[in-house]
Amino acid sequence: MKVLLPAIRRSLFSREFWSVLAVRVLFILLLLIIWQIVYVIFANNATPKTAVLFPSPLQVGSSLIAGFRSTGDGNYFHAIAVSLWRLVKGYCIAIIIGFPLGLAVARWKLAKQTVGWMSLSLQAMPSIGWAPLAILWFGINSDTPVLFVTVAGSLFATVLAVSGGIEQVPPLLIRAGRTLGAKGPRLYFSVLLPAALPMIVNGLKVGWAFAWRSVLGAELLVTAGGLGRILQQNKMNEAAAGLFATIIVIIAISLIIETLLFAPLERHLRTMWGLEKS
Amino acid sequence: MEIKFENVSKEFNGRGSKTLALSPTNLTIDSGEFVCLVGPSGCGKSTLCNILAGFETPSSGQVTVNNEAVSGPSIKRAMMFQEPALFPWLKVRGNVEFGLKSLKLSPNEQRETAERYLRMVHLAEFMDAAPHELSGGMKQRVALARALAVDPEVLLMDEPFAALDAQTRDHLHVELHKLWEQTRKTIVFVTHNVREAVTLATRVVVFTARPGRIKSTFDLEDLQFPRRSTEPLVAEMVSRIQSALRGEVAKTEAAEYDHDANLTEAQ
Repeated sequence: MKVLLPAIRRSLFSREFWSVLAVRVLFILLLLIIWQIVYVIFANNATPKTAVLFPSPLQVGSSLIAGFRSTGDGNYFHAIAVSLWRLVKGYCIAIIIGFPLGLAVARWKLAKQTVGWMSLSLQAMPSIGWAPLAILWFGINSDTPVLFVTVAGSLFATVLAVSGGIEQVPPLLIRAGRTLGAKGPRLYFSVLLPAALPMIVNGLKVGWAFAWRSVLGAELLVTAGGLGRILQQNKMNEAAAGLFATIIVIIAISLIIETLLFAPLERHLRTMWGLEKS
Repeated sequence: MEIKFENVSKEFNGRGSKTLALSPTNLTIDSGEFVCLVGPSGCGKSTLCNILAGFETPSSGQVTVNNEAVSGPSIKRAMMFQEPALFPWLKVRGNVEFGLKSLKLSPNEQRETAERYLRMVHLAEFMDAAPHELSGGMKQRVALARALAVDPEVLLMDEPFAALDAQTRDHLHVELHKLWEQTRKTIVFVTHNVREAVTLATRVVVFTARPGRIKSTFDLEDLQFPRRSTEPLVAEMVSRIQSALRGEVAKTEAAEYDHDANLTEAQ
C-alpha cells in the first residue's frame, strides 16, 4: 500500500496519463463510428427476424443504462460486486497457496522437478475444464465451483511467476549479497525476493487475467449470479443488445484494473529497479 | 593478517574437455598490502580473486586467511565487482547498511557507520537517492563504501573501474588511494590495466597467458605516492611491467588465432 497509492497517484496526475487517455477516448469514438456504419449496412439488409441480432451503439447504450438501473440479480452493480468478490477471493487463495509453492520450486530442485513440472502442464489446461467436476462436487447454484475454477486458473500462473522471477535474478546481485554476509533466509528475503519483484508482479498480472477469465467462464455454467450469469440469461432471451452491453462492462472492468492498479505498480517498480527511465 | 594461496589451481569443465585456467599457484599477501593482479584476459587472475572470495572452489590446493581455510563467501572478504551490483530497491544509505545488518550492528550504529563511509567517498548528500539516479562512477563509489563499511579483513576488487570512463577512473584512483592510506586495508585488486596497477599497488603480480601462473612480481613499495604517470620512475615501472606482459598478451592472441585457423581448416 505504501508503494501502491503514491504510484497510482503519480500516474493519475501525470500529463502522460491524460494525453494517453485522450488518445484512447478518440480510439473508442472511432470504433463506435465503425460500429454504427456496420449497423446501418446490416440493418438495411436484415429481415425483421434477424434485425435484433445486431444492435446499434445506441441500443446497446440504453441496454447498459437499463442494466445499471434494474433491480434484482440482473442489475449490473450487483453482478459486478458478485463477480469481483469472487475474483478477489479466488485470486487471494491462489496467491496464498501459489507464493510459497513458487518459492519452494525456485529453492529446491526436487520441488522444481515435481511441482514446477506439473504446474507447467496444469497451466496449459483451460481452467473452465475444471468446471464440470466442480459443479458435480459443489452444486450448480453455489459460489464454490466458481472459486474452484478461479483458483485452478490462476494458481499455476502464480507458482510459475514467483519461481521464474527468482530464477532470473542476476547472479551478480546474489554474489553481492553473499559477499556482504547474507545467507539462508536473509539471502532469500533481502536479496532474491526483492530482486525478483518486478518479474513477480508481472506474473501476478498474468495470474489476475487468468483469474478474471476463469470467474466469467465458470459463471456461464453455474446459476449463482454474477456477470457471466447475465451473459447466459441474455443469450436465453436472445437479447443481443444485452450481450453487447455486458461484454462492454466486463472489458471496462479489466481495463480499469489494468490501468489503475497493475500498470502504475509495474511502472513504479521498473523505474525504481532502474529497468526503465522515469 | 596473512593470506596464503598454496598450490591453488582451477580447472573448468567445458563440453567434454577440461580447461586449466590457473596452474598451481603460490602467493602470500601480508596485512596492509595493496596487491594488483595483472595479466592478459583469461589468465586466471579473476579466478584467483573469486577463489579468495569463496565464490569458486579450487580444483587443488587451498587458500587460508589467518591460517583459516576459505570455504565460501564471507563478509570478512568483501568483494567489489566490475558492475556496481547495488541493490536497486534500497536507497544509497540502505545499500551501505546492508552489510552492517549482517554484522548485527544496532540501527543507530548502522546509520552512523553508513554516513561515515559515504562521507569518505563524498556521497553524503546522496544518502537518500536511489541507485538509478547516480552516474556510473558514483554508483561504483557507493559500492566501495558498501564494501569498506563492513571493515573486511581484505577488500577484493575485480576490475572495479574497467567499465568507467578515463576521467572518472583517474578520479577514483585518487580516492581509492586516499582511502587505503586512511584505513591501511589489505586490498587485492584485479586489473588488465598496467598504469592503474602502478598508480595504486604496493606490489604487482603479473600472470602468464592461459593456463595462468605467476610470471613475475614487482615490488613498488619504494615508489613514492602520488604516482603521476609523468614521473620518470613511475613511467619506467609501467614500461617494465608492460614488457613483461606484452609477450603474454601476444601468446593469448596467437592461441586464439590458432584456434580460429583450426576451425576454418576444419570447415
